[in-house]
Amino acid sequence: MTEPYPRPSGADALAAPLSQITADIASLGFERKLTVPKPGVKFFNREWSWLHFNERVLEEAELEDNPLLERLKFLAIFASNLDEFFMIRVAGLYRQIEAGIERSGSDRAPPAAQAAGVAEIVHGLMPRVERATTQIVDALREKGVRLLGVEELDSRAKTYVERYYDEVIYPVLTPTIVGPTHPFPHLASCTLYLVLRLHDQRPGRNKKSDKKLNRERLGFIALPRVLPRFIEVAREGEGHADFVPIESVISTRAEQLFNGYEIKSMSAVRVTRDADIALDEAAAEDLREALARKLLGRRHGAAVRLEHGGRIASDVLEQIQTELQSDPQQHYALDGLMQRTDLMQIYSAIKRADLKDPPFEPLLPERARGTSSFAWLRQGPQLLYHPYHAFDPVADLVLEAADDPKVLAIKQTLYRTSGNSPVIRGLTRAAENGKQVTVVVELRARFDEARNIEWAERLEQAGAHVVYGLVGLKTHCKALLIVRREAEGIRRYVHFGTGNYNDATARIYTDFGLMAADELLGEDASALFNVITGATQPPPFNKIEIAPTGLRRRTLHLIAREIDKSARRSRGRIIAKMNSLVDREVIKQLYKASQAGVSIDLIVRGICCLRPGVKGLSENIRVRSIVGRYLEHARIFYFKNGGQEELYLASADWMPRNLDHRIELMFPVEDERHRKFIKNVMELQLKDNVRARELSADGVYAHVSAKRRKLDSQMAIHEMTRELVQSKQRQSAPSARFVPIGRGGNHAG
Amino acid sequence: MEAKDKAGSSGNRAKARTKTAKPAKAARASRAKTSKTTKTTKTTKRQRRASVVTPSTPEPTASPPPLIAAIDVGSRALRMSVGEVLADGTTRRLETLQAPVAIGYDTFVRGRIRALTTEAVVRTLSDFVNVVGAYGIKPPEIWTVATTAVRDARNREVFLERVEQQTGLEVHVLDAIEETRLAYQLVRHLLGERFGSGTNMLLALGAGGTQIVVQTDGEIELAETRKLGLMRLIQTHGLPEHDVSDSVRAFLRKAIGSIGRVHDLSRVGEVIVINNDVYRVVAEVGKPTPIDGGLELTSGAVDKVVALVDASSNDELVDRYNVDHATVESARMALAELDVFRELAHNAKKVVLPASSMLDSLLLDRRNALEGGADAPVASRQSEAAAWAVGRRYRIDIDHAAKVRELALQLFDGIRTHSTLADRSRTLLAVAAILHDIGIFVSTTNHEVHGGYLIRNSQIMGLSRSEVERVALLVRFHRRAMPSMGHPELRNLRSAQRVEVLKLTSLLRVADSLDADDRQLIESVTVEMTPEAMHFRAQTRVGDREGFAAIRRSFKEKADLCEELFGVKARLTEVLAT
Repeated sequence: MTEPYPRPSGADALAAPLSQITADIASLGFERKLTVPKPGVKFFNREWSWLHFNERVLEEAELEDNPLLERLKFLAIFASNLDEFFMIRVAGLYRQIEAGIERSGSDRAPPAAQAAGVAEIVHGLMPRVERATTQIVDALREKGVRLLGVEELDSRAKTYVERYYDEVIYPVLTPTIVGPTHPFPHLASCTLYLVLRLHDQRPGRNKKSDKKLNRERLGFIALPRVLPRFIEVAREGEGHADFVPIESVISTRAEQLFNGYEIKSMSAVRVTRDADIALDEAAAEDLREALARKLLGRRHGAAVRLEHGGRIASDVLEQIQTELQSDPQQHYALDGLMQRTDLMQIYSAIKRADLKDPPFEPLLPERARGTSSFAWLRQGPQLLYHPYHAFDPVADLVLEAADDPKVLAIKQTLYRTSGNSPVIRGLTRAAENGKQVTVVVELRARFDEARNIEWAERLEQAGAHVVYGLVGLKTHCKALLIVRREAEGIRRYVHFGTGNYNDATARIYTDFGLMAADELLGEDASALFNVITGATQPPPFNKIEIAPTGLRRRTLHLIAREIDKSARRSRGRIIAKMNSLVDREVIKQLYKASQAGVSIDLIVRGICCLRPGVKGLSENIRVRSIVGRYLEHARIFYFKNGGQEELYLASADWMPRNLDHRIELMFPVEDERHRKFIKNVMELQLKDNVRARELSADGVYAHVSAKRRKLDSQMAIHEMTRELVQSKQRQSAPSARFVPIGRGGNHAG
Repeated sequence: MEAKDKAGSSGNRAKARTKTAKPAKAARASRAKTSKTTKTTKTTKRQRRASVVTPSTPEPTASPPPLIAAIDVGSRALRMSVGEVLADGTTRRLETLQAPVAIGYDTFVRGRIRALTTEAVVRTLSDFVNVVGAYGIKPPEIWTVATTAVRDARNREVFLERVEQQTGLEVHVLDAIEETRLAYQLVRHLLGERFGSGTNMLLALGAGGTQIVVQTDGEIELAETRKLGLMRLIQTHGLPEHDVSDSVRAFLRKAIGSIGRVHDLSRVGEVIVINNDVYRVVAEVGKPTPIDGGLELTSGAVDKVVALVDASSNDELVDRYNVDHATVESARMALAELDVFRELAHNAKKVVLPASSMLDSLLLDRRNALEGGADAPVASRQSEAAAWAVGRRYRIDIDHAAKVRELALQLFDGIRTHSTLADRSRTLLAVAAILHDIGIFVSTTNHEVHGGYLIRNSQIMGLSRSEVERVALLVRFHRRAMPSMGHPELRNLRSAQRVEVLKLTSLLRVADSLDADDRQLIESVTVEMTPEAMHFRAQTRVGDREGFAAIRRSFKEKADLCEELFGVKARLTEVLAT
């Protein structure tokens, strides 16, 4: 069998046998014991819990039932998630350690112990990542999608790659040498470098002194970020292609770059640094963390992780470590391909139905020909469930409003969105048409700042009133308000959602959106925007609740009410679905509810600091996580309320950052059909035995035993929405109907 | 006036969230009458049905309801409301904004508004202007009023100038009594018939002042403003945490007790309280009965609320009920004040809390303006009633005053076609006629001078400060020396107003002369203008020669101004009633 990835001659390390890696890891002494919860522990550590979530993402890559390219995509997502985690969360832990903070997080654990636990878990995961990568790459090779080293190419392909190197790669390379007169270069965060041990062979001027001189040097070559990581070489056969990692080509030509030096060894390194997220950024989840950040505000970009080839020369590693002042427990030796985030390139480049999830058809609401969005919404509220339902009705509403002479104003929050999205187009046009357009832009959406600023400026030029939210509070709620002057008076149309106004992510994230011409919701929406723009204090709202003013109290109150209404005959019931559950106060309230006999099901995709199933503490709480094709993103809160059921959707998780440091929105679902639909969705998710894992009291997520027929909730919801459409078409009901439109796939994202 | 303001916007919308869901719901229902909010469910249903049948029918193109906006520059906060006037005349509130800018803190403590505060006001008002801009409403169209915090600031002119320059808003500084009128007008609008029967007392417990109106069967007996105000109290006594201290109550008793000495409040059967924070606390804590336009409690129920609030800490109340700290603090003070008033009106059986606010009254005012003063006759009656209340306090001869008023108005209506006098002038004339002899209370000698200053220092609800000033001038010149430019008060008037005052004075002088012997000898009078003369024809019941001769003498003396103004001779003829 040929090597899965290129192994350039002279370099030690872009691949190594799996057994050796596991042995290496074991020799480091990392066994999973630190992170196993002890009895009596009431809260799981949030960092570790997050890593378990990412482990579930990895499981999707490992799962042989998944199409090959989808598995590859999950590998890329895993890697990109982990990068961000180190840049923000792990960086935060190190800042806390340096600031001398004794305890932090929901479990009030010492930051050093948390960091050690992180290392333990990540070290445990890396061999699995390498194994999965090998498996997937091997399997893809059989399907005609090959990842090859330069030396594996045939002569024609080789010529192409060499020319590509000469014309495209070479001009942008900047090799650097560390020597007596050359300082150690700054290794940029999340950038792959080749590091070479060099021997200076150039004759010195003075032969005598020359002998005493140290002629050992270090050389670095940064892989150019401006170029694709993989050089795509077309091959015969539909959808067949070869991909050559750029470092493979560079390493074969390294001698040319370091003319006059002998290359003793070559390896790859990659540093992850503190991303320097500002103090008010929500990563600071409690005061102590914020304090730590403030104290250490001067130390920018500290290294928090060093990944390196498994057989890197120890003195080279030592030199780098000294330079970075990095913590050895955050050194990760890898033998396979590094920087797996780049695998997304291959996923996007190959368009093959046999290697990807079958395309799906988002459903579009049916409405009478010629009916405007406004007339449609006046018939009653509409519930959209993306990506099962298309995002188009939301975009259409904005686009129609832009040209409608009766529309006076459009107000909208924008968090993460694409610049060429129809929503932005609509808003721009509306502003140009002289309507009052107010856009609340959150620039602090992590890593998207530059992109956000660009279209925000475009909107401003068009005459829109662009507001950057309240100081210190991230605007995370998703709301759209259209004020229209009709014959009977002002009517307001609103859209409240659990996800961003992003037509691209709406095809991958599961999110609810409620559109309505409801008077009280309209009044609330107006007030909400007045609050966000700082024009008013938060008033008592009719139906909605917002953070940071009332949402925490309301949430605690709703749980308490369930305790009050729980009786032996009729137990209280809470079903809550969210991305993360971290908040201590809410968790304690849930424990209280469990102890009062309230039956609680939590569907928490990511972090969960609540420890379920502990007798006397939480035996009535079950926690499950669903990680599947679509990113579970909707927040749903159901309360039985003694039979007077209440159901809410929200933009907020039960996390301190959502409840205390952001503007968030929770709104009720009042239409009986909509409530039934959402309850069905949750029921399917609670029955899921394919994508779901249950969290046990010892902190382990395990697949549900599939005694019954296999049920993948995401696929079942597809079916349910389709059936609903068909049955409605048969009845020809006048209310919302959804019909499939011929558009497909989540591949856009 | 400002503490009561949120009532409409929030108190009645208090969510049915907790165990106390009932009153909150009731509150919402009660709002339907004022603002039409709850009507929408019906509308939507109707529309739904309609649009199912013909989904693509184009929408009707009738002109949409007019939009109105009002801003209240209060002592504790700035507030704005945007609404629209629906076809049935009701006002539907669209948006309500509130920003905590405590101008009162500056005025009540330092006597002037600090530059920092002015800037905060300007910033907030700019935000407000921006919000109403979405509805196409421009700053000059926003009815912006300020109350005591601006009124009492030494640098108010500077403040107003700066605000207008920066925001385009022209702020009208309300007189204390104008505030009272607004409160009265609103309550009348909200409670309708119910408000007009029996003896009741209206209390608007604001941050900077308290407005008091007592009326019996629609007749106002007392209307005035006291500089109490929750904010002033908090400034002098500190934030109330627990039971409002005895010193506060003692202070209030002293301040309010004087009202009880002048007016008999024991007949009051019902106390009407406008204060948003009290409204919210009562809705959450008490068990009020919802009525049209608000909530109602028995006296006993109010006692229970007061006892509960007194016995609980702020934190306890906030935890247990759906209220915030600021509301609880303010409600504590307001309840203490209410308590002291109830000690005076100890026979009151009920307390009524209208679901409304200053902003609602401003919107109502705006709406009335929009409809060409639909409430004008009512406003005039109100002002006259207030004048009678003042008159009674100074023991005027009721029969003489009524006769002079009657005759003066007959003259006014008679010459109206020859003059450019407005409806409002008629009201001023009536008020002046009622009060023309008020100065006799001080002394018969120079009583027109005493009358002038008494009026100038009285609160006549329904009249603005400048109108009161003009009434005072009418009284000042109703007898003896003719008005001339030598009088500074007259000189200071704008010329149109000066002409108005002169014309009205001339009529008042004639009317007064026609009842010179205080015996109501003359039944009625008509006036006819010819190129040669003004013919006054006075109808008498019996031929009382002597009596009429006296009247004629007086007429000769007092028609002087008339002759001068209209440039013709004035002639009086007696006409015997048949």
